[in-house]
Amino acid sequence: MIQHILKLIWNRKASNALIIAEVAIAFIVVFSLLALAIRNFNLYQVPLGYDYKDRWRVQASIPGEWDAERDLVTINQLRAALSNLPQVNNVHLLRNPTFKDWAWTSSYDLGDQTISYMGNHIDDGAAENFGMKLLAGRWFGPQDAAQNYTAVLVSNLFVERYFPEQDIIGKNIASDEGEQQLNHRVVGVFEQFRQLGEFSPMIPYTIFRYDLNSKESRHMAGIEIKVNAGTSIQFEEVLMKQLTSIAPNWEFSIRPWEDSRRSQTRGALLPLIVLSIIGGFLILMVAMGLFGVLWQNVTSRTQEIGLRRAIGATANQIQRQVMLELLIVNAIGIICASVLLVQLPLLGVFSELNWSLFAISMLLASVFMLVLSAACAYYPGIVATSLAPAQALHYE
Amino acid sequence: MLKLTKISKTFQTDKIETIALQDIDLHIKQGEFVSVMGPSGCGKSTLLNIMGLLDEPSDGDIKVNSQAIESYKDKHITHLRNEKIGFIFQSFHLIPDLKVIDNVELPLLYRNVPAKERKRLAIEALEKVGLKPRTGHYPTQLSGGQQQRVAIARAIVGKPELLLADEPTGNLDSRMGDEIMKLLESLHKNDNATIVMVTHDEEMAKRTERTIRVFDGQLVH
Repeated sequence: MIQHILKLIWNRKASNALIIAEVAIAFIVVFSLLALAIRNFNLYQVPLGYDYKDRWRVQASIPGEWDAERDLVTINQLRAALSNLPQVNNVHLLRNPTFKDWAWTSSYDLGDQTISYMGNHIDDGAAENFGMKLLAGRWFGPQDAAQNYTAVLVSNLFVERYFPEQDIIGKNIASDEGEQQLNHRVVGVFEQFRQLGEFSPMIPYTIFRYDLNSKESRHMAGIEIKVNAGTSIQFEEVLMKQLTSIAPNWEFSIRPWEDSRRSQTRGALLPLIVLSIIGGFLILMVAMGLFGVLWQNVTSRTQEIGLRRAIGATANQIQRQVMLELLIVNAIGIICASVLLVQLPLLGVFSELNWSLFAISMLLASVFMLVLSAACAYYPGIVATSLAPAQALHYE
Repeated sequence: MLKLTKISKTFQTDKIETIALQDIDLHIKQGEFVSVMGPSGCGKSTLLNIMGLLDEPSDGDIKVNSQAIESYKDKHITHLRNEKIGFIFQSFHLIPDLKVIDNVELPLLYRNVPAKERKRLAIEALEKVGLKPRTGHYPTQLSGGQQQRVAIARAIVGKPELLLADEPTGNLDSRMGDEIMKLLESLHKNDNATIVMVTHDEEMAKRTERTIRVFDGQLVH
């Protein structure tokens, strides 16, 4: 029977081409939506690498040019004042905030590879208190002060991507090009620090030690405080008073990390929800189109079905044949689309579309399309075989 | 071979009830060549469909080889049609996307005959109708007469006990019609085939052993 069906499919290639094209296009749409959804789901599952509960960011707006000598005095005063508040557990500095689309990314050549990373600055003790996980080496400490190197922490992904199977602790990872010979010494490896939140792609991360006593220290306007559990939002007013009393010329905004996380998640999910709705409608249209094409295909063969019934095929056999035939045609459509889609990971068009994401999306999209086409083929098949052979033979 | 007793057939739509056949008693003996004649719409084709188990009578009994058709369950009836009855239609009903040999093999396909054996039997049937050299052609590459001969080969390939022909020469010119009639006569004479043929043509009917006349759904004696 399979041979007979394959023969029929081949001999009807012109009329099957329409179904194959429709299925191939639908498959690409379904694949894209699934790949996007799975990618985001996978990213959401990966831990952030830090604790955001009860942590508030104080963002300072410092008037005029940054003057380390002058402004760091104020920053130190602010830190000390905030630390003394009974509601505050600890106070640290973090240059680029979490859960904001505000990041420092850079790349440089080292040896025969280009190192791309996202970076940040923190002070001593911040990593521990942020709840980050140390995998190797140590955190920053006073021993890193006034040295001929800048202490750096790197993420595990950074090591896996650029220094696999190497002991990176103590290594200088600064660019070896140019006249200025920098010394960025790795003192520790942490699990990860997903600064941009749960839906951000996995990027190698580096954290530089921020020296509160160095005149060379860069602009720093982010103070992170850990408040005691259960501290109400009214504490914000107390904080603000304290801050403005120390630095009356500076402007401050205070926001819990949880708030920032919520609004960033909303921002990340909104386009996904819109895309899903559009995708849902697309799939619905595809399903209706497919149903129409398959209906037309089966209806135009009512006389043939009548003949087959007359010469010895049962209604079940016909139903099975119609389903099998259409499933094979659909499978050909899926194969055609797959040949196009496999070019994406092969050519590296989307860096995040790795082989495992590709494989799982292909598998789910194939199952979805086959179930959809079986559902679309089922009813026309039932209708066609419900006619008595004598009626079907004379169907116009 | 085939016995119809008090067969009636009524077609029912929402408002109208149409009596197509009424109290038909008919006995077709083994090896007979019978023609069924009557004006258009008199119920000839309905009668043939009921004889071929393609349609269910509203009332009455059918016996095939003295065995009553008690149930019209799809599987049972389909099996009977496949084993015992061969059909020849006015409009041939060949599948245009299948080659001549594949069209002829169709009844055997549903009998689960192995591919090699199907091919051998199909070639044998095509040889009988004089179309062995056309096995690899598609139906559209053949003339009307040749297409009907393919349909006859398909009808006889499973060696059925009864051949039912619904105006087999109706779509053909007189020369081709004559060719088909000769072929049916030869199947009857040489293979002792039992044939029931619906026709409009008095001359064709005269060439059969017995003619049954139908008028307004009833047999005319």
